[in-house]
Amino acid sequence: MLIRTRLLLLGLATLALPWAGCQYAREMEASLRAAESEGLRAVAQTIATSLQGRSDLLYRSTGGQGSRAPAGPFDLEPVPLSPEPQLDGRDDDWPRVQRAWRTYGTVPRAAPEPALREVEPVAVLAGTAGRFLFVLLRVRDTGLVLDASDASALDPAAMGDRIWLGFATPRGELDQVFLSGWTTGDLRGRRIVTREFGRAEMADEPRVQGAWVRSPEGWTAELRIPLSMIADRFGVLVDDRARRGGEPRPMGSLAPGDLAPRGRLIAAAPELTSYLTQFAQPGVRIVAASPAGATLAEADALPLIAANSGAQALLSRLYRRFLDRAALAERITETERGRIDRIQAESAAAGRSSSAVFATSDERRMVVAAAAPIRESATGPVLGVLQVAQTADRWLLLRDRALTRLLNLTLLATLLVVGLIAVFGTRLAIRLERLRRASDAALTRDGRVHSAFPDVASKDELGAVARGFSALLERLDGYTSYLRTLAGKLAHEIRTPLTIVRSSLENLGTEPLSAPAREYLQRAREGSDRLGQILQAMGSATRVEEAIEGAEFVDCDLAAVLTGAAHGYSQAFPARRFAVVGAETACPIHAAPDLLLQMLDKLVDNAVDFSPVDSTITFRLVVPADSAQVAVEVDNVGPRLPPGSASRIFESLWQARVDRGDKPHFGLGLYIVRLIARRHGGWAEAEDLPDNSGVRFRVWLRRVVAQM
Amino acid sequence: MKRSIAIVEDEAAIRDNYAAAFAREGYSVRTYANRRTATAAFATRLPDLVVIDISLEDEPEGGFELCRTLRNQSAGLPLIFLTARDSELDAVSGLRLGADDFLTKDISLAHLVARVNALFRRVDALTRPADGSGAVQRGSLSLDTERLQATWNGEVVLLSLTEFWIVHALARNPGHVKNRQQLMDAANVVLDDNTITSHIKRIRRKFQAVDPAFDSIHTAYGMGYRWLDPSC
Repeated sequence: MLIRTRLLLLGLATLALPWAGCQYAREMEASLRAAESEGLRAVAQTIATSLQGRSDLLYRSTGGQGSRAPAGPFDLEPVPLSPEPQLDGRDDDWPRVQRAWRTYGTVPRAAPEPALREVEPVAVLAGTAGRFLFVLLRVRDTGLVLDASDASALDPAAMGDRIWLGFATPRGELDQVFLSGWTTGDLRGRRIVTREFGRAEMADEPRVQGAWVRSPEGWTAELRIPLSMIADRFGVLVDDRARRGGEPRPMGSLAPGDLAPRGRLIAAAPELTSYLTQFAQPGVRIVAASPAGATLAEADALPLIAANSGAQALLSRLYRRFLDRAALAERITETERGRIDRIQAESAAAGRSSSAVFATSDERRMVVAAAAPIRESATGPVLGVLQVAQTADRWLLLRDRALTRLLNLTLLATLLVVGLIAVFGTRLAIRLERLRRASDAALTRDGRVHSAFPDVASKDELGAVARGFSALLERLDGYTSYLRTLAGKLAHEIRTPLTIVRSSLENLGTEPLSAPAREYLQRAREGSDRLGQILQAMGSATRVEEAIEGAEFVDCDLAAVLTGAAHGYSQAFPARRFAVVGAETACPIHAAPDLLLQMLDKLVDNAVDFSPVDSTITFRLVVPADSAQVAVEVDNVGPRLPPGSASRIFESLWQARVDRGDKPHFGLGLYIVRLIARRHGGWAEAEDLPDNSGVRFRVWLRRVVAQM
Repeated sequence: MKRSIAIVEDEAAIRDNYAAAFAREGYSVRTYANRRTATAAFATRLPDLVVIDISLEDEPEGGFELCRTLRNQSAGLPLIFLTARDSELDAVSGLRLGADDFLTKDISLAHLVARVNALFRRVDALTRPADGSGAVQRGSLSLDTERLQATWNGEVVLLSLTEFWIVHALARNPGHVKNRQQLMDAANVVLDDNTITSHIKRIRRKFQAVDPAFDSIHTAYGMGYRWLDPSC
């Protein structure tokens, strides 16, 4: 990974700042919430205490003790309806309150198990709105069977599905009203009046109204009846018939025989709402509920949440989306309308007050709610539950504002830090890259050392590295130049003792000597001659370097030089043929012909040494179009270059050839080639011939070289 | 009377070997190990020829110093530099100081003695009037092999012995290319290619000093050099 990338990743660590900020904001929120909850609990407790022993204020029933018993399976707990639903048989304007439904089957059960709720054919939901009791019925049926339109409602053969309402009147009598119809839509309420002599007669009951419609499962019906007709007992029964005039299948909370209501209607006292309203404040909702959690009455002043606007809202919503998720998950979604939270209700029914935070189902609104039990007396049984709810928007807003500000600031800081790190990293990377390039270029293609390094002046660690490199390269340069000149120096130092040996041998040769002594003398002479040749070869590089220093550059024709040289070599080396390619046209060049010839000498020496007798050595002049350089190639057949030697072959004292004993070699020839090529602004290279039949040496020369 | 040769050489073994070789040839030889003793001796009496090593004991260029002193004493005294150092710079400096020849210690004793003999011949010839024998005339060039002297358009070109023999080898057969080996053989020296090249360069310069239009030594690339005589 690049250093820059790593630094940037490091810079991202500053994102821990907003995280820490969020943690802080959350803690702040939690403590605020705790304080708020505590206050709200006290309020709930106070109101609950004011209702202590006032079951008359809580429940409309005058039924005495019955109201306080827990709701049984036949008891209906109407939910507050607001607004009043339309009597059209449809349930779309009813609240979704799953737990307030009662279900009934053909077999009356004391306590329907939860599993039966779904399968039992009749489901009843009651609700109150103003002076009316509303009943919603969902009946699972093969079809809605209508009364015959032209027959008497009393004729059993004409009877279809029929809904019975049975209830106790305020005067304490039992009364029944039924609803049926020969069309879908409106239902008429009617009752059977028994006249004298037991004659039954139909009478319209205009106070009871309703409507039914078919539904995918069967049918639904909506009924309305004034609360003033009903005391505390109430029930619903459906006479379901498979066909008109068929045997009825009674299902509901009325006794099938006498149609007496088996359950209670647990509704709030009419004064309860106004009683609660006196405690209501803006932003607070007060709910009174039965111990089972069914809402009796509520004073609702929770405001709609104020929609945030603009970028601020967008940002804060974004933050909340990222950061509030975990927090939201801890909260319980506020239960459906008409019930208070079950856990709160249960704990209140057990006599404990509690508080909790809820999110509304759309998650847009936060509510903190406290519940307290309403008791019959200070230690008596629980009459109901009082819940006080308050919007949590106030401190949520506070937290959001702080959080948004914090996040904005820390994000800005992060951006700044990351930006600075990016700049710093880039600078660092550039410097490192420069160092790398300098170190790459420190050893040139021709083996020279450049010790000039960038950044040596800077005082930091990179500067130290650069200085270290520079010093190292200087030492290396010194060492290589020492090695380069070593041969020359050595040759010079050895020459004096060699001269002593030689001159002594020559003097000895003039003395009268025995035959064996002459032979020894001859051997010693040969040895000293060999030594002399070695010295000559060793010093030649130094001499060439000096010659190069003093070389004279003139305008000449490289093609003519090559042609002439080839002619000369063919006389000097009769055992080889020499060919010149590409020298047909003149190639003007500003160069030192003497040096060029020496260079060719060395190349030809090399080519002759490695090529078989009678082979051809080819000179080729390569003149690339619009190039400031020309190349001279010398090809010879013979062995290929030793592996890995192509770059080293031009180094001083490098040699790959097997010594043939006739002439000493120090690997200086090709080094001289390189020196001369460099003096001409070029370089030398070697490669195998494309068909691997031999070797090609190529020397690049600038056509115009600045004088030294 | 025996001709006297002075050898100034700090290396005793070489000095004595040279002395023995010259003595065998019938010369009287005096040897000096450093500049101080040599200068002192030359102040009282000059030898007929001096062979000087360039680096003398603690003086790396003591030979040049001595040469300068001797040239002040005598302009015509034959002087040969002998050195282990064959670098270009040494050669140029030595000849500028007016040495008659400049030889590396690679040279064999026989060649050295031949040189000395040739120099003495030249000294002798210069004392006699020119008789034209052994002269080579090539256009503007005339070479006197007795006096080892070259003239161009009648003007003397001061060549060292080596240079003289190179010019002689070239001019004897104008138009013929002489390669480096042939030139070395002619001059009785063992030189490497670079030294030949610089000798040729110096010869051209010496002629050009007399005649700026001089262009008779032609380089045959890869082969050697030849003498071009515009007049023939």
